[in-house]
Amino acid sequence: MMQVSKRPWYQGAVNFWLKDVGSASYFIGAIITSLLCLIATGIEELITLTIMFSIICMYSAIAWQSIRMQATEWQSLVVGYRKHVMFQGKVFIILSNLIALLSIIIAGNINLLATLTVANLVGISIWFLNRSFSHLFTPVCYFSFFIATLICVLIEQIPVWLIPVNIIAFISIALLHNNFSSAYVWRPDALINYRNGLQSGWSPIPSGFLSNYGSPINKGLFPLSYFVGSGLSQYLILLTLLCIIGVAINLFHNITEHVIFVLTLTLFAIVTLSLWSKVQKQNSWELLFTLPIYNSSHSAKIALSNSVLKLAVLVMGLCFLTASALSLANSTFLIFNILSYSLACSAGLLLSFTIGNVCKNINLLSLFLCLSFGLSMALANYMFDHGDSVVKLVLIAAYALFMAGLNRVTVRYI
Amino acid sequence: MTQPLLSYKSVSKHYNQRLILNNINLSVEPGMVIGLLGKNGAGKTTLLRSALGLIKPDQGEVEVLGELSHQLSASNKEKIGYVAQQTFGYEGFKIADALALHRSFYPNWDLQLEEKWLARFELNRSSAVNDLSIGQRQTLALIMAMAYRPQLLILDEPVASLDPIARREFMSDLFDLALDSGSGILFSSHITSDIERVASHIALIKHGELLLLDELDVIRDTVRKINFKASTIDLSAYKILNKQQNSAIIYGYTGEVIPDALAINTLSLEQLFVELHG
Repeated sequence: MMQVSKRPWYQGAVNFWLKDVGSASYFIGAIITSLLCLIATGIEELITLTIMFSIICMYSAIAWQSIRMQATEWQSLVVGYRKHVMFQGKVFIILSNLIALLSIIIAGNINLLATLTVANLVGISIWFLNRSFSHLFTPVCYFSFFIATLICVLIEQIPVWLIPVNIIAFISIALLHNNFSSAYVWRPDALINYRNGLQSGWSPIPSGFLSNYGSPINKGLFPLSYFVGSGLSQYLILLTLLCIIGVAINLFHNITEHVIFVLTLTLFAIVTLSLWSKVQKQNSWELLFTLPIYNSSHSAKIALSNSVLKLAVLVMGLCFLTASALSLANSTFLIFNILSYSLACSAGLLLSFTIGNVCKNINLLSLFLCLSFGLSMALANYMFDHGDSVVKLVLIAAYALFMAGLNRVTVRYI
Repeated sequence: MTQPLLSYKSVSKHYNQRLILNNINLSVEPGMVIGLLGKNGAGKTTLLRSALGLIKPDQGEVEVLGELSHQLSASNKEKIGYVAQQTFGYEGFKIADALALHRSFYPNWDLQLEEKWLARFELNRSSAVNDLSIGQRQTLALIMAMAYRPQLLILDEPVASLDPIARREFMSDLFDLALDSGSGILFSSHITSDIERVASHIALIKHGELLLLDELDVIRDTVRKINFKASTIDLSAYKILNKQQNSAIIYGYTGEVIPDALAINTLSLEQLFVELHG
């Protein structure tokens, strides 16, 4: 028999927080935004966002771990197991708060302290709700991030008087913890919610949303829609609706730049989410091959590449129409800019899917998708603002063609 | 009389107005290996989960090591081993890391036993848990549940995904563990040959009701299938487990002549299971 030495608090931390993809997607986001807090101390708009997101992301990661606890049948039998994992989470929350505080001190803006307290209040709400109701994770996270973004965008400076109010509310919620006896208790649906969370690509859209209208799109984009699920057509319809709303508002107020930015941002966010969703369903290949549709795995892969190309063309068309409508409303029709922008969007999409073809490792995939996201966003917006020459149009067209070719070549590595 | 390690006293449980467990009375004493046999949905998993306090019965109570199952003390929790039907909990870990962390919660962890079983079942310490097959995950879960030599071991279809050789070896280890350390084991399985090989007692559950609970040898000796023509046959001296138009399964037979019986046949455990659910 062996007597066990004292367990260090960090034992298993890397595995729990970084190697569980559900937790990692928020934990890594929290680390990156925490570091950005320190870098962005001079940029007021950015530091508000980074403080807010670093704290909420960290709480979301701990909320995810609490779902994992509810899904683990034996955890209540292993004395100290849950406490160990949750202690790590609390340490990470304290650390991210300390970093945020440091950046506030450097920035010398007391209003940012109010932002920090709001972020903690939103964060603890996410955590405490998910300790008992695992099915709420995705909607609660999205709602919280939406509220946080609205606060950052709409309220220039959160008033200082909110600091004590938030602290009192935070303490009240924390004290409720003792009366929340059902927290972390094993629940039969928690494992299903955990697995669904991993596979859904964190889609905030309810599964039945607009599903009646999406069938032709899903059929046209098969087998891509097979992997991404009904979310693909839902996202496309949602994107089109957003564009129509943007164009309509633009008729009364000039918000061309904003619409283009939001369209590009949403587009690449959707592509990233779809790829995330697809990579979680690698096993589905086996089922696809057994269906009497394709003669070989190669032909299935080629079909997948073709459906990605179709999606790129659809996206290009949507971007072109939206950008044209926006331009025409302002009595300017910058054909080169619009074409370059549309091509840049579809090339960005193809680049992301190419990365998805090649990357098997989830961590590498996440990293490269982040890089691709940044590059494509920057390129698309640059093209809309400065892509006013034939040379740039030719270059971006060549880039888009190259990406289409690369996507076809790399599909064999899936 | 020794105190039972686990006892169900008139336990009933409903789910969505459906009766899952119906007045269950069952005790696990040291040295007993009880094989819980029943069809899918018979209530086996609910029965096992209620022993851990994961599910609270609507009626009756479940006592584990002298405490109510939903109020288990930390010291008693350390004496219970459990393997769930769906192994989950160490995703993202390598086997070595998972074992190191799990081991750290148990002061009486038997490292030699861990080493022996890892080697025997060819589990590589550097393998990632996510990459393991279902059977390998189940093996790891079994090691984690047994390496601290718990007094009470509760296993929910523990070997369903293992190959026949691994199943046989694990079952043999289970039996040794119970004999060596006076542990009590309650395990569910569909595989009647496994149960016959290691169980000292059989508990047969159907529609949430415990039809039969006795020593395996007693069941072998006293359960019979009686064939008859006249439905007026008198079987009142026995417990009737199942009765059809021209046959019945009885329990408590001791070799006497039954008037009007055309044939009295012994049943293997598998035959008994099939006949009861036929």
